[in-house]
Amino acid sequence: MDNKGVRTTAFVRKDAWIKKKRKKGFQDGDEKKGLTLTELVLIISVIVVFFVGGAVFFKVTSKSAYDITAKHDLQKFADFQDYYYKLNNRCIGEQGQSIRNDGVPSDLPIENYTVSEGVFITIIAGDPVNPNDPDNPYVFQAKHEKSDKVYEYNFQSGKMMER
Amino acid sequence: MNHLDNRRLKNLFINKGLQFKIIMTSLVYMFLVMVVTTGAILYPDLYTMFSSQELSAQYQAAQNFLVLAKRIIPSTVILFVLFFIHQLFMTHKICGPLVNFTTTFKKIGDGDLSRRVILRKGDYLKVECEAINGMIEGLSKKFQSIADEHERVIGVLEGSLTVIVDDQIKKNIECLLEELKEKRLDMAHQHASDGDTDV
Repeated sequence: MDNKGVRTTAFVRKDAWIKKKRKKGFQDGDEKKGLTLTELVLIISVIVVFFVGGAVFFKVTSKSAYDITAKHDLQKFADFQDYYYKLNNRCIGEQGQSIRNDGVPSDLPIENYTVSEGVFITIIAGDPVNPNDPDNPYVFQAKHEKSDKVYEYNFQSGKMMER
Repeated sequence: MNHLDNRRLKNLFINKGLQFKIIMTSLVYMFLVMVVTTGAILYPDLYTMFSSQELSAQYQAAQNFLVLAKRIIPSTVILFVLFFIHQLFMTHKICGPLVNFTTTFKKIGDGDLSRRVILRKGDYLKVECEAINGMIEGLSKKFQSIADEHERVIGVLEGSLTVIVDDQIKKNIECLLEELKEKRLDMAHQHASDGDTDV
């Protein structure tokens, strides 16, 4: 007898599959639904987890990028003040003045100098004529508008720290 | 058949089970592809940002990262949405014919060989559709020849009734003829029913 094309095994498997489904409480019409509730929840969970994970990752990493930007701008500003002090024997700006690029007008305009987008640097203490006074050192702070971290530079010690 | 191209938005999920399965699986793969690609693009800058000792290098990497992130996030979301829409239309073009095939197979199962599968403009599975229509055509011809043969047998039997003298044999032939005529009626009935060819 020619048994070509008779796939007995496939039918056995199909029966087993139908039995398995019936055991779980499936009806014949349910086959049209395609995905079971568990599969659907699993897939949606995977997508949501990826999206949330991605969003958190980008938020955290972007914050770090903003902090690096603020830190870098503060260091540049400190270098600029140091250079200016060596040339003019005084620092530029007064206590309370700030140079900014966050949409708010800057009250410390410096020609050919600007900070990165979203960053503002404020002189918070010290005398520009005597910036190295140990009792009243010249200090300025930098912050990015999209980050909570504040970086502070002490002109007298030449050190930067996080506030 | 003027309702064939009546494709409404609500019909986009023509076979929810299959379409949903394909779309969701593709979306997961698409997401993985996007994650891997984004990771590969951002990795060099992230590495420099977090491991370099030089502030200027960190700053450059941070600026690169911010620019890329600003572009990658919206483009990723747009890509994801476009991919979803594409999948929806693509699966619709496959599942539409499949629904038509299923209805046709059911009709064939009921003995209606008058139905033909007609695809809409842009539908996939055209070759399969032609094969199915060819199969129905072939079956229809076979069926017709059987019906003709059936008619011929009835004619022969009716002719033989006039020459047969034996009552018992005559009675048997008459019974057989009755059965054959009933079958002929059934076949004629099935042939007469014009099947719909909608999707």
